[in-house]
Amino acid sequence: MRNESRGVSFFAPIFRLLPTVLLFAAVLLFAHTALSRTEQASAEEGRRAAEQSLKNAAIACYTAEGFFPADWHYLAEHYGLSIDTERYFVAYDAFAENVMPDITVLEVGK
Amino acid sequence: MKRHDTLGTLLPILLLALFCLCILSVIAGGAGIYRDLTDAAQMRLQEGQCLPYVAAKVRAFDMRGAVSVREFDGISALCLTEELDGEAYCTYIYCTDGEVRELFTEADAPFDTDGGQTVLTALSLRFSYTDGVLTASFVGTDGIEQTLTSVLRSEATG
Repeated sequence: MRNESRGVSFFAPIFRLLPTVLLFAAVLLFAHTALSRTEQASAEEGRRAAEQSLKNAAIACYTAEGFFPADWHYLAEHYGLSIDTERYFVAYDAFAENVMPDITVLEVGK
Repeated sequence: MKRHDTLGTLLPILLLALFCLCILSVIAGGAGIYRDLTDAAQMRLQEGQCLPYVAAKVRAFDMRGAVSVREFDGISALCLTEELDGEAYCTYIYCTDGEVRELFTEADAPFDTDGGQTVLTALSLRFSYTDGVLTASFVGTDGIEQTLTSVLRSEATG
């Protein structure tokens, strides 16, 4: 009788705390998942914004100067662009000075 | 007594969960508003460049017979012709599916609506060309119509 009561009294606090611990873990997991998704969406948004900025600058360059530059660094230097090259890779394919270049921005490591 | 203890333990957790939910809602809402604002600003910037871009293109191709307007299945396209290494090439500027596109192809190649590269966004862009005068009518996503009239010097001087 003594052994039984000792066994019951040992596990009882654990069973009492279990729902609380599980709920706390669920809240933490939800917060972590939501923050991860926000970070992913933010990275994609940054990529999209960088690509669009380059395209706008290319059009502005052609409108103002009459040509599309051979290298995207010209646009960054003369049209106030700032691209994080450690985070993004710029694929800039200029066929000719009077043809809109093919501009794609990719995330490094993806 | 047991029920009171359980409630006392669970309540802080529930409050924490509610707090996290509120923070995430504010972050998501703020991010959405910021994205909408930047998208709207980008669109206005883009659409403001459309007619000046067309004008710059026309100026670059202002040679006799180089500028023409063609119609393909209801799509009005500005055709800018040039000769490279003895071959004739055409740069088409047209609007389809809410986008102003540019297609560089051989002059005798069939016109491929989906082949052009997206330049800008627009509701519509139409061209007309009469007696050396090119007119471009642009309607942006805000519904406001803008018109460009360009007199080609190559046609005027004969």
